[in-house]
Amino acid sequence: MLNGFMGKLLFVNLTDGTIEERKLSEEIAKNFIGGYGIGARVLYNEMKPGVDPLGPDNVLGFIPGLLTGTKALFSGRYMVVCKSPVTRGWNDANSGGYFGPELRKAGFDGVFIKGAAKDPVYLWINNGKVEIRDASGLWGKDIVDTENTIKEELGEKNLRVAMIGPAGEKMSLIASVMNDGHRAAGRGGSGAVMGSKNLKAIAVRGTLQVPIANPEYLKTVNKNIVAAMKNGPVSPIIETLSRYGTGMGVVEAILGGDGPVKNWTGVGFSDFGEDGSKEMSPQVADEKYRVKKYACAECVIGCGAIYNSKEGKYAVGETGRPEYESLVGFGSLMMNTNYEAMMKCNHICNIMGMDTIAVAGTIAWAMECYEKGIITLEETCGIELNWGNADAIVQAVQVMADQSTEFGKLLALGSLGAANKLGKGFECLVTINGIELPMHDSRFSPGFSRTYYSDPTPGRHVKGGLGWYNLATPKTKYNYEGTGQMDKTITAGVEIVNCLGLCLFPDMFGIKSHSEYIKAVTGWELGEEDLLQTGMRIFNMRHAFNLREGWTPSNINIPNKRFAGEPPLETGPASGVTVDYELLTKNFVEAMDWNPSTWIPSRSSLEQLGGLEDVIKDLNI
Amino acid sequence: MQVFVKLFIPNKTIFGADELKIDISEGTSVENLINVLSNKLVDIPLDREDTTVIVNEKRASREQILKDGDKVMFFQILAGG
Ligand code: SF4
Repeated sequence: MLNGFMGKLLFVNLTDGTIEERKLSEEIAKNFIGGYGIGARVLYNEMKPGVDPLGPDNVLGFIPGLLTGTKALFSGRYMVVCKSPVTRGWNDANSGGYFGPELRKAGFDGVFIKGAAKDPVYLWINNGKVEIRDASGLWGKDIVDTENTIKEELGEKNLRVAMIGPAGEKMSLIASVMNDGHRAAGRGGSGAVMGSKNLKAIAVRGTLQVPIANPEYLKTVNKNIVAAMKNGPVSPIIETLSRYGTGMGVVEAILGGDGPVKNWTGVGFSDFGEDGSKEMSPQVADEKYRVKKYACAECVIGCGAIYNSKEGKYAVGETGRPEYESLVGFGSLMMNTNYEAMMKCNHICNIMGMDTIAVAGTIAWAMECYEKGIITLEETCGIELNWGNADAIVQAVQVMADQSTEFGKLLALGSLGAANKLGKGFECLVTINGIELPMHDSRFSPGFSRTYYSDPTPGRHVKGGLGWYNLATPKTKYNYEGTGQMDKTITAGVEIVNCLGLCLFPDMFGIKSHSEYIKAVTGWELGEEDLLQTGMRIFNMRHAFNLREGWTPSNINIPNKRFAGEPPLETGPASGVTVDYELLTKNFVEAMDWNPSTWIPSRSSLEQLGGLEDVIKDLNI
Repeated sequence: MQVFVKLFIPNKTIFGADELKIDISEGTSVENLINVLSNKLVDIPLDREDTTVIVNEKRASREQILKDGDKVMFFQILAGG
């Protein structure tokens, strides 16, 4: 028995209904640890290059982290992996809540879905028993209804569900996989892939235990973490995060230059203004709407909250407090100052199953096009998409979700898809390889530009790189020389945090004990250098998936260079800045020992990492 | 001479205000202001290298000399989410 693992992977083929359990090999466990690490390894083996992301040959995986399901603090995360219908390359998306731990306790280190069902189905995994069930009665239902109906049907109120809403059923490219009401594995169109397989949901119930090498030591590591949080220099920040959530600094971020404004053409102070952003502060909103706190599994911070918006035309009842990304997206990015409209948009995305970043990015794109006369009132089907028009924004989100109008169908393709269909509006896109960029301005923190551009999942703020580091290095952030090693080290570290199933927040504040947790749970002794190697192996594995799909630096889709400050903003904290993302990337590529023009890794670098022998062969290096 | 310092969570909560008015003398630099504020503001290590200083909506260096009516804000990494 392998400590720290349930030891089994589940493969379900929905085309012929076969259910197969496979032993998780020690080699894969050790080399790829969990989450998208194991996911990338398995998909590379199981898939051929060039498959249609929305066809039956795409494989969709749900993989908890290595620590998920144990008592390790902040370890509640799981990852959804597949080939992305948006970027047409590797995709992973990460979600918290309680689904991940439950899946492991139900007996599996990962579930992989192949093929496609003829009619809607859902999967029921109950303490190692697996059943494919009819979901025709669930089709069309939103997230809340779907979960409640499954609980009722199975007579089990403690089960957890990962599922799609109507957006995923309709294979909208901005569809996410949702769990626990408002947690989302949002990015890259994984919800559309689930919909393409006619898979409405995976319900899990588990009371099994993840075997732990040294439970006493695990308790000690937890105690040390709690002590560092309470008494360390970061305790005020942690307290603030715990009280106000990820939106704690949203006003500061918009005014300060981190949060983009007016589809990346505006500036916080002069365009959005202090008054505009006031209502967005959770300090103000908590007073009005807060009902209770929310925390993911094994989390002692609890950055979430449940709100209730009862009155007015945008009332939605109980809903998750909007996170930073959604606040900036439905706020300053669209010049909207109506907080209740932001909550409504966020709520629609949650219950219909859509990625708030992609939805906000797409509507902001459409607004700029509308304001510039590129998209007409006829094309919006009558929605007056002027900057800040709250009614119009809510309407646009709604039609995007239910695709009830031609404009809704257009937006459901995402902004690049919509621009391609219309044959116009390319100059207003803020996308890389078709994915809308998150709410951290790469002109303010240039390191994000490298990550957005060259991570195997482009356009992400939760992947490694110098972006977050730049937020803390104002004096040197615009110095692009010699950044490669640091970029590589941070990137490898983030691969580890994610694949352990840990939340990024405590880690960002220096609250971490990766080696200790791994030792307690698995018994393995992995030092810093080993973790760096493992992180690099996982990163190269994801990258290899893309290389096999034919990715090269020359075919990365960049419709314009607004994200890098070309042309630069004229005012504000990032005024005059043009980011040399190509140099940042060149430095990173050099540190990774990849070929500068093809990004193909050197044979020796992969040999040294190990576990990638087939990749070496496939790349013919 | 007076400058205005924008406050964010948690200082905003503590002071119950959106900004502080601070009297300064001629020739006061951003660095000098930080030293004055460090005694006033709680829980925010303004003197750390990782704080971005923004004066009148533009990035400012520690050496920049402040003028009457300047609007100062400090951006800290905790803002993002
Ligand atoms: S800090 Fe927030 S996102 Fe992270 S585990 Fe806790 S509740 Fe979940």
